[in-house]
Amino acid sequence: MIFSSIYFIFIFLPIVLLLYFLVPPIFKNTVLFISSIFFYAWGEPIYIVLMLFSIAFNFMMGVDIDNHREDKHYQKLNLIFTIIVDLFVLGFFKYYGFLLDTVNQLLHTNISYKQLALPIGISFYTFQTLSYVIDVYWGKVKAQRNIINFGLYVSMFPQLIAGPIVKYIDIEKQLKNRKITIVTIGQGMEYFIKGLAKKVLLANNIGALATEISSLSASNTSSLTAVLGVVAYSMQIYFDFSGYSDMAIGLGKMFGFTFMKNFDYPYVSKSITEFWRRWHISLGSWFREYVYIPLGGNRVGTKKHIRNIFIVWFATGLWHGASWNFVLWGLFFGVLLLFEKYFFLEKLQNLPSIVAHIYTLVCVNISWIFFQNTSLGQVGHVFKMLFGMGNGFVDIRTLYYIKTNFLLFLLCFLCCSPFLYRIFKKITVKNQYIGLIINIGLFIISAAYLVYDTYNPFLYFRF
Amino acid sequence: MKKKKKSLLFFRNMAIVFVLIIFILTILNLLKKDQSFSESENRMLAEKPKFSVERLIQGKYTDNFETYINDQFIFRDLFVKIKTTTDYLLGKREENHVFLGKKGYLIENFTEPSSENMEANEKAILSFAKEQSEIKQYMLLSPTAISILDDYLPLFAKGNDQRGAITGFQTALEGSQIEMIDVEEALIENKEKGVFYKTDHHWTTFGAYTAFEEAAKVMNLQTETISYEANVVTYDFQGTLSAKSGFRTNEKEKMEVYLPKSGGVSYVVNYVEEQEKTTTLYNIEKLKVRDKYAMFLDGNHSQIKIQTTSESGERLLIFKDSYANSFIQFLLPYYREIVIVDPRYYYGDIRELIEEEQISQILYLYNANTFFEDNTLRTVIGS
Repeated sequence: MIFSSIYFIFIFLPIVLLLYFLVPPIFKNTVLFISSIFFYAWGEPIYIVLMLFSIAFNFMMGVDIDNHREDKHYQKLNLIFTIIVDLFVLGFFKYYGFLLDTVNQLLHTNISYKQLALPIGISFYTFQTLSYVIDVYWGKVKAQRNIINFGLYVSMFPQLIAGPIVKYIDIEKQLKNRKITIVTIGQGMEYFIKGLAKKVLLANNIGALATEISSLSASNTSSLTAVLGVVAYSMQIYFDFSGYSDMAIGLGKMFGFTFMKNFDYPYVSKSITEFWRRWHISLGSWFREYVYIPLGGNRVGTKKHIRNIFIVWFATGLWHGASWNFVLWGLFFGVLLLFEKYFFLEKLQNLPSIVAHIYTLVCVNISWIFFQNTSLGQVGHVFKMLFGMGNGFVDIRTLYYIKTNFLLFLLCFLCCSPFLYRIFKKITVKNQYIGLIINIGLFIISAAYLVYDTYNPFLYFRF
Repeated sequence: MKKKKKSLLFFRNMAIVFVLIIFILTILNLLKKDQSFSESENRMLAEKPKFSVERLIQGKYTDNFETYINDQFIFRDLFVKIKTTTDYLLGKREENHVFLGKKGYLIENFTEPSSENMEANEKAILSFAKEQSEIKQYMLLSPTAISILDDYLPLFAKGNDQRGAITGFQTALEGSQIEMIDVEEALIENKEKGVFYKTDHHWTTFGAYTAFEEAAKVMNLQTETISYEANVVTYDFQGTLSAKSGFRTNEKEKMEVYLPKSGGVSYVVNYVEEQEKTTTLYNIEKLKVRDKYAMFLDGNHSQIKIQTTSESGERLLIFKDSYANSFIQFLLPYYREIVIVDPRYYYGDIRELIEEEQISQILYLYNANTFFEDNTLRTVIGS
């Protein structure tokens, strides 16, 4: 099930809200847990079993590790076993085809395999169970002894499919104790509507342009058209993913949960270092906490530091997809981050901010070319088009795209910075009715697009 | 602290307003009866899917349910209108491959054909032409509005190259037994008089007549003794393109029938598969439904035989798409019999048919949009 759909907003959500508020407090978590199972099973009637297994397994292992506080050795073995099983499940369902393809290419073999469908959300919930079990091992938290609460943590429908990746430690207290007032519900609604509008009005529409441009033949692609295509894609992926995260945070809030924000206007960044503090914050935070810092982070010698960066960014890239272009994407950032750290971050900060800004955006946009195109051939094609080897520098199609998408691009650019939202807040304080009307308008228009279009792809879906 | 209080008040009102909106719409949806057909979209709406454990596991039940909820959502037409209006305000002038053109014209874009399809069609037609070399063969491949009305496209818009595809095909057929009928010039000359419908992908009856005059030159048909009079049969025609694009959904236009003033013939129309005979080319009943173009020859049938009182001994076989339906009437005076085959629905033996009916001429009558996507003609004429 996806948030940006009629059946979610007008059937699933009202029913769950109603049930949640009607049942006595001891049953509230159960209601949420069962709704989340239903939510997941709706889209994955078979793989629900896998998720339930993951819940049961990690629950038992967490309790077991916690029960053996005196036996470090036992704890460590258990932890390693748990990590291996969790990663094996993730690896098997997500990467086994990729692994066999690579082996076939390298060894010139022809091992055939049946392609498995990827279970939705597996990358997200696996990382959550890993964070839990590692934190229990480190003694940061006590194991959760109530399987409903634990199941809820893993499968909670607001963040199950596409994040943010919630660390157990951030949510432990909220599982037992959370305060819901009419104000928090309103705040949740506002977040949800903001996310919905980002996804349905901005991402889907600019995404249609990105898709169209990427399917043009070389003879129809001028250099400027190619640029429009790349920029359109960066807009799409940002509003798609951050919109979904906003909806997740908003829905969490409606049930009393506070998740940390996952995006902080990343496209205003003035360096790649800053960009990764603002983009997909929960993932960066996860890798820092559970991979980078345990490996020593940057508190080791330069050689080891570089090694650590490479490991983290290799993994970050690979997490995004079972294909080498994603690894290339990750390593591209790894290299840039190293360059910034060791060479020019200070110089960057001394440059006029517009230059730093342009440098960052150019790098980020280039990175999306690696992200969007799975084969090196396709990547090469895009670069060829960008350098005018298609249909010259500008053609009539470019003008057509600019003319028919001008307002849309303008809206996208404005929404990349907190500027528009701050104005909205000021207006709301002066006259809240205008704020209400704007939200109602956004909601109705978003609903209109949803009614019109049952096909509504979300880019980070298959992760 | 007033700011904070105002902020709290705002969120409180947000909660109340949206809980109300969602719940009211949900209740209205539950109370609303299901609709089976959408007039504005011109298609059947999804109905409540049947539940079965098997379908649930396959994911089919949930997919069907999602479509059902969307199709039956209350105020659906209003929401669709909001969506297309917002698109328009944002600058969109093209929806579902249909451009919103000038002078009220909706213009459907041309889909670039795959070269495999092109070559397969060329091969089939050339080889069939050689096989039937005693029979006179003609081809009328009509450009559509995307070529003829290209100056009516929105600013900077450019359609895909339909002209190039047509020229390429005509070149491939050069030197063969097939004589090409080129109607492009004639259509362009007359475009201001309305050769295409504004909301539909077909040519108007006037457009069909303009094309016929060109065909008559190539096929050696004497047109001096025959004249026609245009009669409007409806002013309420709403074409396929407004449904497909969501643009101009309230636009209505006129549809005409050309009746012979002099030199006409009598005829009997035999719908072979349905085993029905009538004495008119027109099914007036279709004027009561949305798809009014189907009035011409009752839409698309696999095989139609028309016997006329013409003194000519010629018998014509036509392979066609729906463009031919409003064109065929102009051919009646010149043929004793006209056999019309729509390859999309025909499963008979075409060679047997040609022999039985003693066909003396063959005409391929298509519009470029349909022709280049077609893969049924070659299975009918292939060996």
